[in-house]
Amino acid sequence: MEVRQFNDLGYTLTTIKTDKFKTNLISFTFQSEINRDHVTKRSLIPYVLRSASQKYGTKKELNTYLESLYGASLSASVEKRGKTHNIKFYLSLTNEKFIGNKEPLLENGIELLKEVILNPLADTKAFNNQVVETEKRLLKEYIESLYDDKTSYALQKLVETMCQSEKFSINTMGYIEDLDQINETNLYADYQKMLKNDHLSICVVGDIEHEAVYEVFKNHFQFSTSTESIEIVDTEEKEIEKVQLIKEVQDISQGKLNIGYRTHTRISDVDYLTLLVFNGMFGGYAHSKLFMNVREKASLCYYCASRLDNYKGLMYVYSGIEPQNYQQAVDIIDQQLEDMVAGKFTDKELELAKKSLINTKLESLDQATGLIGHELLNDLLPKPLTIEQWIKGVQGVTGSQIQDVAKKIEKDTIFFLTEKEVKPDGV
Amino acid sequence: MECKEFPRLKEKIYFEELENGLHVYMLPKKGFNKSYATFTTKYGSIDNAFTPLNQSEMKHVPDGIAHFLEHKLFEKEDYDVFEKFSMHSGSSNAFTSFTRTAYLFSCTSDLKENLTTLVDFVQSPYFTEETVEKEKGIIAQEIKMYDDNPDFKAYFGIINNLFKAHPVKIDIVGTEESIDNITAELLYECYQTFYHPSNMLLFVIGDFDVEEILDLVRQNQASKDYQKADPIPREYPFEPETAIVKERSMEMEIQTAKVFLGIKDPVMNRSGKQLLKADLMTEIIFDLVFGSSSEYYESLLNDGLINDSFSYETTFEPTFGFSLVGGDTRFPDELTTSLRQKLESLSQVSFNEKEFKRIKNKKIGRFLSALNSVEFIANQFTQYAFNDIDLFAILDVLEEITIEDLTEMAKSYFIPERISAFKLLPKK
Repeated sequence: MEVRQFNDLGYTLTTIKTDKFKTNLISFTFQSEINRDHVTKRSLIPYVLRSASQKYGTKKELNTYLESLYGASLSASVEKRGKTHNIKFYLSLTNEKFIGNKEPLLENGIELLKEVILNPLADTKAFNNQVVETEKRLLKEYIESLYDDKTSYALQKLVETMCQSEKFSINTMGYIEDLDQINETNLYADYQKMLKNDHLSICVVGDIEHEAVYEVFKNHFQFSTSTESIEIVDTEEKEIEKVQLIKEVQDISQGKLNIGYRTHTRISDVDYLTLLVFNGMFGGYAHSKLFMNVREKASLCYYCASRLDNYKGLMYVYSGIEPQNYQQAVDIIDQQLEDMVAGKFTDKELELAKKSLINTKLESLDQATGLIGHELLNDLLPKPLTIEQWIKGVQGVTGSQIQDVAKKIEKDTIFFLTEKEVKPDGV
Repeated sequence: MECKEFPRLKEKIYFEELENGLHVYMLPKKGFNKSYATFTTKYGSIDNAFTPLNQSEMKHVPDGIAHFLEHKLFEKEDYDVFEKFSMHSGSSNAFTSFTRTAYLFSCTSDLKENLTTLVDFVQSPYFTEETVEKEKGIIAQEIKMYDDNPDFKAYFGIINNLFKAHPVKIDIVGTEESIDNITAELLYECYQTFYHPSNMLLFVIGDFDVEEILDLVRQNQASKDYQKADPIPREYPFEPETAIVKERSMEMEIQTAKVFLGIKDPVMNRSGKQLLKADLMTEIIFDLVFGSSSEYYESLLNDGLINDSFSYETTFEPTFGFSLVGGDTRFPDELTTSLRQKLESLSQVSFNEKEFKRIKNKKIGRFLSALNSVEFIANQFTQYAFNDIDLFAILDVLEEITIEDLTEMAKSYFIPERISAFKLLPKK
């Protein structure tokens, strides 16, 4: 595997050469600071662009062309990462080597991305009205459907509640109430802003030639976005006076317990790798304390795990339980964190977490998105890490360092989605 | 050891049938960090009536027992399975489907140790009444998790509209009542019958030496005592060719309605290339008619009847088969009517040669792309192998399919009486 970076095209182009895959993957990331007034429009933009362009006037035409490129798949999405809101495009294309006829699929793909991103179906100041109206409807229906997935709904509510007064509580996909105010003109204005002010990074992964890919981009994508990189890590803090308890009742059959914590440790901090190991011991795996104690010992649940947000410094614990077991589950979870703080863990637990983490990391490098992920991570670290350095860092974590990061972790909010007519203790 | 090469795909696969009947497949992947292995028994949620090993009477077992057994195999008297894998940088999991139970791990070092752990833990059951009882609480929560999941509800909702008696209609995890009847003794009986090596397949994929790995498996299996076993007699109830109800709806705590139309496939005991071809033809028809490049999809989208959740899928197995199409909608009645009309019209439809060729190319590209995933290769290969299909033959069979084949398939498949609709509606 070989990584190259080109910085003279008005954006960052990273090329990763590997012969592991039968496809090539191109990713575009437009990054800007998240903002309540623009988030809904930014959530619409990638879908409007993915709908129609000058050359491919409808979704049907665009999808037809993608199919003719041996089932190329083009996805548009948005994500929230720390302080930023990112618009992303992924295009996955079959590597020409595996199909009989020699079509320049990669070059066709890059041209297509140019068409989709730079030549939308629009006049000089507005998108096509019908495209915008259709995408508004689809976004509205998507946001509404989030309510139906109770596990992710509960997690979303937890974040909204615990980060209420912070920018981080802004919903990634935007807000239904904004949609009425959005039209083809003001959306187009935000699109222009995206092209001009966002930080753009492009990644290409596959069995490619670095220089050849660079040349194609040089010929097709000569435009300058903002080269100023944006602060991603969100350091906004909050004083926790008392743990908040929020309960919501719905007609469901299982209680969804979500607990939010502040880790006060972020990706750019020196103890970031220690926190990853901590999470591996606490709730990241099937040998972790949460799984062993809440599920295996107490039989309270099918899943109980913890997850980190290292751009913001948060940890979430989530589990599905019988409503009447609420207090018992919370007590066991609290006890596990206390044990971590008190150093009540074995060398074996520490060792298992490190091995599992390293295994997960190495496995991710067998996927094109994992390779891109590691490069993106490196952009955020004070000093870029090679895979070997990353592994060494994880291996070097000690038990007392684990206790130190555990001590910093503060419980912030509990969100419990529960069934009707059962009053769990303590909520 | 046999070796089969697929030069076009740049893949080579190795095979051996061991003395005890176990089928071992190996696919080396140079340059990959990860190795992945699956140890799978041809035993899933539909196998609830069979003649146990060394017995002569057909026996019915509680719903959800195959999945329960999957959970319980991880429990050992003197060690923790997950820990043992993790100590060697491995990560283990398992799943139960309609027709299979698979145990698997991935690792980035110590493949031999992890492979030994996998084979040994699956081949050394340890069930006690006490541990079986304890597991019931955990699985009850798994059942409730699915209970709250509208996609799962809609999926089994439409399957239950189509099938009268075939056990495909039963939730894979069972119900709280059915799993309550499971005992350690029953688990052992199912285990002895279905976990005989001759009913199992081991697949190993990653960067390794083929001879070395095969030797390890040979020795491991030779050291264990298995008596020769005959094929397992399994029984499936009589199933009518038509759908059981035309339409049914259910309410749930959701905001967005879901609609799925299903078609029942009445052809039984199909396997090998015949099964693969029928599956591929049906998928191509759905791509042509309902795919995101079709006129019909465009009109549903423009009429506001569907959104991005719209999807379709086909499942063909030797003892059952069906296709589903649908998704979230603001207009469940209108979408149901439209989809039914469309499906019923397909027995008369003629397909366009140019579109057909494009969809074929798309399927070739998507298949190649799926081969990036070692998980896909191992799982799909196993599923197909149990039905006497060779995964890597897909490209050849795809190329064989003609537009006349499609017309014929559509004519025999899209029969109005075999079509049903299921609506999942928000509670009023």
